[in-house]
Amino acid sequence: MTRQKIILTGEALDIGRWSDWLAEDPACGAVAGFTGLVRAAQGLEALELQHHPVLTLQALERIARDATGRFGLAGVVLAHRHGRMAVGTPIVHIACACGHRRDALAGVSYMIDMVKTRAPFWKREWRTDGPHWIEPTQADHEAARRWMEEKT
Amino acid sequence: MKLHFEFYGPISDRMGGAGFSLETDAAPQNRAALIAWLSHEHEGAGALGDSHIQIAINDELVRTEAGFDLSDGDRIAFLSPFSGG
Repeated sequence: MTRQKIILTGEALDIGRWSDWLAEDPACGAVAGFTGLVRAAQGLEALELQHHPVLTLQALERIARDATGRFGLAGVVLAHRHGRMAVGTPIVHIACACGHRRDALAGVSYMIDMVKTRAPFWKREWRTDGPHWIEPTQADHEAARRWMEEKT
Repeated sequence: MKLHFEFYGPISDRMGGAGFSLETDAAPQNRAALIAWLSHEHEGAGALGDSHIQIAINDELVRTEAGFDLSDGDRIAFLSPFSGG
């Protein structure tokens, strides 16, 4: 049975605890992870992430479920922040546990590409000159499309 | 009937905030009619015609080309293109 934690929170992400939890399964020879942080930029005071009260969590659950089936994962953590965050704050943490490294790494890569374009989040930078919405990039959409075109 | 509109992401700026409610006797039955009606009520509503904006009715995404049957109290959300992660 797959061990799974899907977390959508306005509080700080407790990344270490979840990675330790995934590593408790002795059948897993690999735990791969990715953490996205608020990157410093000229004039950036804070990053705000808006979400939908129902659809966002549903999308995160669907992405984790799809990744589990696609890569045969034994454990998944998908944690995403919302609200206002300072530079350096973790925004998203993804970890996948599996028997071998290749599927664990692929699972992480798949999930972040999907989160970027398939989960209802809206990113706004608060800069010294005011608020600026961040649009998804073409590269983000192409990364997600490549997974859809690729055979499982 | 009374309909409640919600706006997420950049489109909320064009619509002047997170949402509002409107009364109507003849609810629109598809996306084009909905936006045309909203455009009469709000000057920023033309931006809702962007095909990348998704619509959810009562927290369920609806297909762009599908029609819908709105009821009193329904919540219609317009979702700007996502930019998470």
